[in-house]
Amino acid sequence: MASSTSGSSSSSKVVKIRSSDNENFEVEEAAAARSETIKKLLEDVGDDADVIPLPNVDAKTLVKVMEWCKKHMDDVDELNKEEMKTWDAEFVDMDQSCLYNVLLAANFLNIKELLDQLTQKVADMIKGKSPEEIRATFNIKNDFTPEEEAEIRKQNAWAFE
Amino acid sequence: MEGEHGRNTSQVRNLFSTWFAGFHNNKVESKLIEILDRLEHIVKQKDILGLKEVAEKRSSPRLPPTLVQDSDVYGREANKDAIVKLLVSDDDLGGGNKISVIPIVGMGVTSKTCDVNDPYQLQVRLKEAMEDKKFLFVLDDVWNENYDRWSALKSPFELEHMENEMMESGDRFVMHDLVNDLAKFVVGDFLRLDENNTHASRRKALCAIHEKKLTMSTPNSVIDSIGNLKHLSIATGSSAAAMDHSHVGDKKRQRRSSRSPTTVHSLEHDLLCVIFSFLDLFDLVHCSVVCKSWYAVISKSKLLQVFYYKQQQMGVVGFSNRSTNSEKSLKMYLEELAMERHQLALQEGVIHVDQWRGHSVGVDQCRMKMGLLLTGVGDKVMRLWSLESYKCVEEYSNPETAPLVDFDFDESKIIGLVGTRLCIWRRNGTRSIFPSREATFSKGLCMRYFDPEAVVGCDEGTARVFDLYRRKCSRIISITISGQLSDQRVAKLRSADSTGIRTLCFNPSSHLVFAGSTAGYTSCWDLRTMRSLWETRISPNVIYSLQLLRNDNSTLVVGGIDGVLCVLNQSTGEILHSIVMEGNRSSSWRLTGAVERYQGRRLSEDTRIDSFPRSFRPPITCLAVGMKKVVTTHNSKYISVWKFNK
Repeated sequence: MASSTSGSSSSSKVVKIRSSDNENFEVEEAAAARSETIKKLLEDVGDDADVIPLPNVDAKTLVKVMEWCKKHMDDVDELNKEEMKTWDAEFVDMDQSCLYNVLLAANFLNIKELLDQLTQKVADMIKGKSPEEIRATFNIKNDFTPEEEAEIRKQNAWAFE
Repeated sequence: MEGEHGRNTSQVRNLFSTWFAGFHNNKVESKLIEILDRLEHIVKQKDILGLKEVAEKRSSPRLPPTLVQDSDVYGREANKDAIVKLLVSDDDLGGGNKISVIPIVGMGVTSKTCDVNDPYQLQVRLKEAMEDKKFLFVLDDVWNENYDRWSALKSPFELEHMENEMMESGDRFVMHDLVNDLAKFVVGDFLRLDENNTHASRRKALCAIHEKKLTMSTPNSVIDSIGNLKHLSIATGSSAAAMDHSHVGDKKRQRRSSRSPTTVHSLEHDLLCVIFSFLDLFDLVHCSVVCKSWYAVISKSKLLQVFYYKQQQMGVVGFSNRSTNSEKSLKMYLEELAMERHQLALQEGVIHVDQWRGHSVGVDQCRMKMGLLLTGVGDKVMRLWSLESYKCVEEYSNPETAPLVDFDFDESKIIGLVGTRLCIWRRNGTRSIFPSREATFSKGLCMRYFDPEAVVGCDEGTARVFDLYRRKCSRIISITISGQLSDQRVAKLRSADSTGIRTLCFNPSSHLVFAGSTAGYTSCWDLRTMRSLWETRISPNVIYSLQLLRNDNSTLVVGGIDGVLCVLNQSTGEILHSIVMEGNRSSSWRLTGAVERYQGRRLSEDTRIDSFPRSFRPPITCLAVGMKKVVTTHNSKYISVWKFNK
């Protein structure tokens, strides 16, 4: 069984993980264990763990995710909170394709805090925008007919007055 | 079967083989049960995602007649094709690693059109898929009880077998225990075990499925679960589905990710729900009109209701009359909440003023409805603007020689007062003018429109009511003393201010009428009692326009020659804020040209308005109030939108 001290940085044990495009990575166990999915696998596999394949995460995304995990490996003390906040804000500032990939990976790997940060980021991109601006921001095609859209707008007409 | 999977190099196999290698036996069961739970979950997800199952024609459970080649299956052709293609295609499957068990399960669910109990449809598809192929059918115990069905299904293939000499002989039909098949399916396809690991693990899987089976209503539902999963992963490309362990799926995904960037469309229902839960009321409603799938997420998960209950729990929603009006709908609560937000924004929000050149000559009237703005009077054309993009969406020109005096609009038409007639422009393009002959009324000065009637104020002292559908004057209300034309009782509202009233505004939901005078007074009367409620002088100069947001009973916005936007309390007349534009301007380019953005500034009580240069406070000739925004015209080429963001 894996050691239960997954939160501690003193353990320099590394685990091997493999991305969907067959790149192998060695990560400190404490960082990898930020992912509940990996943590659980490690517990199941125990010490004879070989390479953990992550069939849903490509290498580029995995690098990003592990960058975050490494930064968030230890519990943050009060002093570092501000610094961490800035770091997080910079971290989520990435192009949309990358953002969704990391978001999906965070979801698959079950890293709640990262998932929270990323979903919040997407929400911030929506805030204060008109429907048309939202479509432009996310490159979404309006698939309503004009009649359908008018009908939906009528349901909450006040929001469009 | 194992042999076929043996050479598989999928990562999934590695994952699970290592996983199994270090396993204690009892874990397998729980894992498999977990997998089955997830399968069921995914089936539910399918419904949430709105993947519909088309109700198809079902043949009766009788024995099928002779095989007809035409398919009687409607809908899902593309899906079926995809599945069939997957089943029979040669390439990309890792060197002869063709799916052997899945076809049966997959075909059984060749998208539900083939009822498992209806061998007829099934055999049509199977026949197509298996043409010129070596095959081995492993059938589960669905047909165990009825041997006739079993032979009926077999017959066309046996016939073909005899005709086709290329085919190898031998029994290609194996009757199987469903549970055993399933176990192989799960173990073989999902877990992709190494050959040498298979035996023990499959036994474990068998046990687990046996157990699970007891809790499921029918074996068919197990098949359906798995079939639907398969279906989902094919139909969606499943870049996100964690359950998509199929080798084919992996390959597809890899190719896809290297080619095109991931878009917001790859976020599933659950993730969108999380994202939307961070949004406020207006953002949420805006998202609901972005596209069909977002609308489905918001309405299916009742996110507006959730939003409301959250507000209630936080104590933000504090309607005084909540307990007495329990029958009030959520819609009304949300509207009330929106009105509170509007009020709060006008009073405390950060103000930006967006200004753009809307006409080639000065215009002095504007109306705003449903996110659309209509400007005109002064120019030869009226222009309809989208307030979301500041784009001119439509343009209407006046066909008459007489100038346009006043106008109004709704979603289908624009009504203009042109000289002594009314002109209706349909949004779809047709135009009509009535009355057909000139001079049925003397010069019109102003007009308001409430479907189906338009009321024209004429310089002879009459208000003429026109029925827009019958195209005639239905009533004449005279306010002259002689009263001979009048068929209505006319009451007079008196104010202390003896100067002339320049502008009026009526709030139908509170029955209050507001007036602005030449001397800068604003007055209010209650039409139910005909009594004056308040009178406030808000400016030493003339007031041109006062308006309120439809259904808002709290704030009134007033503007006049001094160019100051005043926000008043509707019930007391108290001046809440005086706002002017400020110098810091930043230009931004939009689709149609330059929009300049200024800051808005709230004045303190002792600020002298004269200290602000006139160039920053052009006279407000007309204003229109929308949700958290006010539009003003200034008898200039420019149109201004004051946005209040809280």
